[in-house]
Amino acid sequence: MKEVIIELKELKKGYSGQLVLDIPSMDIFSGESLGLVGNNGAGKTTLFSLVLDLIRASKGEVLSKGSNVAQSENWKHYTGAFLDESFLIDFLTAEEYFNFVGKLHGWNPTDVSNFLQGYEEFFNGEVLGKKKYLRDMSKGNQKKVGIVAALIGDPEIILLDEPFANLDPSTQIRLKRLINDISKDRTVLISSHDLAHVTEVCNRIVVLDKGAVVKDLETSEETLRELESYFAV
Amino acid sequence: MLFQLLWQQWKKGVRSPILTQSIVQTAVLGLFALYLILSFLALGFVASDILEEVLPGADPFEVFSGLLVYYFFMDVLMRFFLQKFPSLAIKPYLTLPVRKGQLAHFLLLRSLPSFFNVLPLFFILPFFFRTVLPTQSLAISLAWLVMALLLVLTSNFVSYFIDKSFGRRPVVAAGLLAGLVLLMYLDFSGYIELLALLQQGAMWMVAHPWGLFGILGFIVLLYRGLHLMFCRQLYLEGDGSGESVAEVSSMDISLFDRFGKPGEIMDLETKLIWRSNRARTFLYMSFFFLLYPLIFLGDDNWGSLPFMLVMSLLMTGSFTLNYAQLLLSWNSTHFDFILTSDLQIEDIFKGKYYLLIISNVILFVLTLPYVFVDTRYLLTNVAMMLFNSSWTIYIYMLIACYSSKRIDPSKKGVFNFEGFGAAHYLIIIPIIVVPLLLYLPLYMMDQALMGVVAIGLFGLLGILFREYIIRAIVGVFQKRKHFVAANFRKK
Repeated sequence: MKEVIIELKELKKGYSGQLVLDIPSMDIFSGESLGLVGNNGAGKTTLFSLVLDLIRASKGEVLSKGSNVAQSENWKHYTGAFLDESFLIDFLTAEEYFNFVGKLHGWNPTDVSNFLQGYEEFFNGEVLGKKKYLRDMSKGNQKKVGIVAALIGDPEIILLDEPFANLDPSTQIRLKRLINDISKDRTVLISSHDLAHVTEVCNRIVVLDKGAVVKDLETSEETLRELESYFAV
Repeated sequence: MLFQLLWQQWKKGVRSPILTQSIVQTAVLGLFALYLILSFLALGFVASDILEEVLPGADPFEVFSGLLVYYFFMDVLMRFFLQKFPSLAIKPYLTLPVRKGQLAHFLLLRSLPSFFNVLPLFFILPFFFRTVLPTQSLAISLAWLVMALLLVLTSNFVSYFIDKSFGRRPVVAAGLLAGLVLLMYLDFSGYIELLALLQQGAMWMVAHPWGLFGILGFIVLLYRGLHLMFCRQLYLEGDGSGESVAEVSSMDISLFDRFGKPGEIMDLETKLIWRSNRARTFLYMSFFFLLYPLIFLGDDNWGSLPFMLVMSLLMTGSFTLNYAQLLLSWNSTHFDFILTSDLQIEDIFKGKYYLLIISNVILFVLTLPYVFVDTRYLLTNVAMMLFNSSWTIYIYMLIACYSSKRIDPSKKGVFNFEGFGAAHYLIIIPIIVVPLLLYLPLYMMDQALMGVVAIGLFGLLGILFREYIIRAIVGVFQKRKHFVAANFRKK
């Protein structure tokens, strides 16, 4: 029996009377890799921000391992996230940033550099040892740093917002491999506009439209075609 | 085309978020500008009377002209630190069909409507109308005015040239400063009579107006040189500012490991202070504050305890009073990370708290020499260091929960009001008044020194109860954090 790790209950978020997210109930199971798709303004980032307690829910709550994320800070120990560049400390070098995140999880620099060895291919020689602050790196390389930093500390839950955007084709392929790899024993939540990518790496796809869940699919052979016909104009 | 570009710059100024965002800030800036303008106006108007009084027998016109040239030496230095020369303004135009030569002209002309070019006019013009025109012939008067205006232009383009060819590196600043100090030293020690020389030069120029073409030629030369430079540099990589990405080395020494997780924040913050322009400026400035009492040397209040208390407050807390104004804003560009990473909010506040205390202690040690001036300084400095290490920081922590705005710490530090709100200007009042209120009753009982001790004890009390107080503040922050985080996301 699969175990519920994140539970959304009566979750509503509105700005000045306009509802941007409305999810009566949704369970995310441990070990699941969940892909969020939807057009701009569908509420994907809002949902992630609520799960990370970055914005306050207008109504309802998000439970992570049974406790409300807005009340307890426990989820920080086992959750890694990269939503956008506000997750990067721009005046640090990549190594310093990784070490900082590592330390917060109780890793020493040796642990971190051992961990980073596994990602050298993903970085493609463009991140480590560059003697550059993150603010001086390209958007694509910043993204690589953010994604890998989210994996430091062996988090059980990983949230990535639009991880494929801004990456070059080879890195996108490496990222797919990486996500498939990490999602074997972890819960992964990603959002994407790329239907092909998301169906390839996720075993569950949730389609949001104007803040509401309109489809909740288990990925199969048919899923990509179904999504394509849903979004066709 | 050129006109179009300049017109858009005007719109940019009028629509600037600074003007629409905060009325208080605009008002404070405006008052400051008004104060400077009025002082300069008054100075230009009464300059001849002052000069007659100070130097009886000398011709105020000649002396003032010499001083005027002297002023522009200082002016170049002042501009080096304060004036912002346009460089990024052209980015959106690079791909549009505008000739590069035009853009370069635009960049150069754009530097003219600047506060630093207008300010000298406020003492040149009153002096011209009050003193020059009535006492000199029309030809000389006009030559004088043209010379003064050309000097403003020279100063502008010389500063622009220094800025663009050497950049704002500390070495350049040191070089300029050293040059000026050397000049002043030679002047004071009598090797050269600088002022007299400048005076003679100015008088010669006024009497031989064709010499003005020399200055004009110099300006044209500078202008052409800069124009050529810009035409070659108008690419995004060298965005005209001459800056490129320098290699940096990682520093992974942990200074504050023993503080645990708050220590991580302290290490991070130390790097931030070192690597962001604005925070670094605050650091430098806090050393200048150590000299603050010297300004009042010879003043009647010099030996009074309340005066010393205020001085001690400003000296031991100079870094705290500046840096803590933006306590959380420093992290505004990576605040979502701070909120979601494996850190408790309490660690963040504690890390900042300890770091500020360390700065207070260091500054306290540096103020020790004032003991030789007046032994009571030891007492007031200890008392205020304790007060600053508790209540001053707590007050700023509370303000940070209510009034925090996004800032870009890599922007320049001087004359930068980003992130400040009304609260930041008003809060200095309780910080000064509270210690004085503690002091007052004991002073009235003729126990002035005990009053100082009372301030110290009150500060100590705050330090002893830090766990409770910080936890209470964190409680406030927890309720406000979504608001603060949302503010930080607003660019």
